[in-house]
Amino acid sequence: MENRGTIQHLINELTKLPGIGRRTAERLAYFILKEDGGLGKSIADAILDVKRRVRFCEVCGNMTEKELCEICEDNRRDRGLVCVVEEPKDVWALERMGTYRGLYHVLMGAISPLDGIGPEDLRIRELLNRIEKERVKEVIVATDPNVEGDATALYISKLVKPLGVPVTRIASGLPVGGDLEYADSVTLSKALSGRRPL
Amino acid sequence: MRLESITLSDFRNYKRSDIRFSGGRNLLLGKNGAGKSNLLEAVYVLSTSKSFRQAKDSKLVRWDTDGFMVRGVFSSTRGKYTVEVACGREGKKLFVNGTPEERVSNVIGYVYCVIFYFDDILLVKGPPASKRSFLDLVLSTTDPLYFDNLRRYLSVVRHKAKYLKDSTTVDRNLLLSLNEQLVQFGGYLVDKRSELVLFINRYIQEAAKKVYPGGPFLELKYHTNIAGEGKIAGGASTVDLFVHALERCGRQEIITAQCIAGPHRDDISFMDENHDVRHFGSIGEARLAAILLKLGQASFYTNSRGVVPILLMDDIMLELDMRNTERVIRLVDPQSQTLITTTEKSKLPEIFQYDSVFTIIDGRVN
Ligand SMILES: Nc1ncnc2c1ncn2[C@@H]1O[C@H](COP(=O)(O)OP(=O)(O)O)[C@@H](O)[C@H]1O
Ligand SMILES: [Mg+2]
Ligand SMILES: [Zn+2]
Repeated sequence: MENRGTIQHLINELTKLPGIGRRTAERLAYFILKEDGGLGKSIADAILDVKRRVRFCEVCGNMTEKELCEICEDNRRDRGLVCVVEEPKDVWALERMGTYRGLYHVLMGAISPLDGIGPEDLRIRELLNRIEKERVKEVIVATDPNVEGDATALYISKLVKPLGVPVTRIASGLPVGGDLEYADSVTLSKALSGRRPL
Repeated sequence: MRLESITLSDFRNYKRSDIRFSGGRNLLLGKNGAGKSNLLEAVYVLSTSKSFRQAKDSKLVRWDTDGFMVRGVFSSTRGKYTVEVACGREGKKLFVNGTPEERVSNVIGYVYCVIFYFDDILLVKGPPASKRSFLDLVLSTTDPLYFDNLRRYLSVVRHKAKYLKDSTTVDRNLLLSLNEQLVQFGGYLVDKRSELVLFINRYIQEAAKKVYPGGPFLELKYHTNIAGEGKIAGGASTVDLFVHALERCGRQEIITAQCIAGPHRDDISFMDENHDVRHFGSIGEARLAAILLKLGQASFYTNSRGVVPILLMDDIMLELDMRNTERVIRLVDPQSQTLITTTEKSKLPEIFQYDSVFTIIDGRVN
């Protein structure tokens, strides 16, 4: 009975992860339990490591192990250009393409009233502060090409434009309803060069 | 286009059946409960992957079996091809020419058919939601962009309604952003819906001339609240009208926490010389209006996609008198393949010439 409680605890915790339902959680939990090559420990260590060492860049919200991320620290990058994305993983997707030379701003999500996410839950205030303090010449909004990403882009443009900074939206040559993460580099570079004013 | 043959396996009350149809008029004859509607349903599944009777997939599986399969061999201007929908424990799968398709929704565009059945009466006498579903089905199957805009529009409507409900003070910029999206996606819907209704109305006027000398003056009308009362006024663009309507309803939307302005409240109606058939039409008149609407749908497919759709007519003459049944039969495009069900041959008018008769007994076809 006590054993069941322990494994149940793991299953419950796993279901709290995005995209993991009850059945998947059970499968994962029993797999970890049966597996005897030390996988359980190495997963646990990796999780602890990430939580201990990785944090979010104080300026842009990207992942980093220091105060500032590599991109914000890199003096060769164009500091007048800020690309706004939803998640840190989107920074990686754009960086893989290797042609963008500006900075980023990670919102940590998109406006989605149905999920209870409003503008105040995102790093929009921080973006406006950055624009006022730093010499930002253009803001490129590269939120996902779905309705939530679009609404976020429109909202940002309404706040940024009065500050006298042009706002462009990444052109959506992206798969319909798709996430930025899944777009291949070719489509991404096309989209980035074909950005349009908001 | 033409359905040459169909194979059913564990579909509804069919255990296993192979049926070859002729290109013209096919009469499906059988007692109540024999499986006539089920057979039409199987053909329909090949065009949309779903039942026209809003039945869940699990209801289509023959009782006490694990899954169904329907396969049709079609021929059209693109040659001969097979479409197969199989539904088992792991969900539904689609095969075109034997090759699996990534998504079942890819089925759209291969098979065009128009179903005529009992519930069509809702398109005349039913709630606006039924009518909008009809417009959406016709436009989504002929225009992928329509489907995409529809999906996005409805999603923004839900977001906005939730936002209005949850927020105590309204962030004007956020509301403006959501409204801009509504106009972008919804404007497209309004344009396409009004074009479609215009097209079908024109079809009905032409049809009336052919079979009713001197009448009736049935008119199909499109109603969208962004235009105020009546149809889209000439001159003002849809975008302007929509923006205006959102401004007009703004206060009320905030007070009631509802999305008011926009095509999610659209409606269509049949007018018979200034009388709405919804309220004043007899059942026979309403049935006739519904059939004209469906014939208009078929004509729209031919016009926009260049295909003559297959007509699936399920007991359509139940509420029509012989004269009206005759009229309907005369309106059917002679080029179209028709599958028409009835319980007795005598219920069809003399002028109905059929090419093949199939007698259905207990899920078996003869
Ligand atoms: N999933 C199913 N499995 C087996 N039989 C079914 C299933 N669904 C419906 N039926 C049977 O099919 C018959 C209705 O067939 P239907 O095609 O609607 O008749 P009709 O010939 O009058 O149009 C009913 O007798 C019903 O019991
Ligand atoms: Mg029937
Ligand atoms: Zn940074």
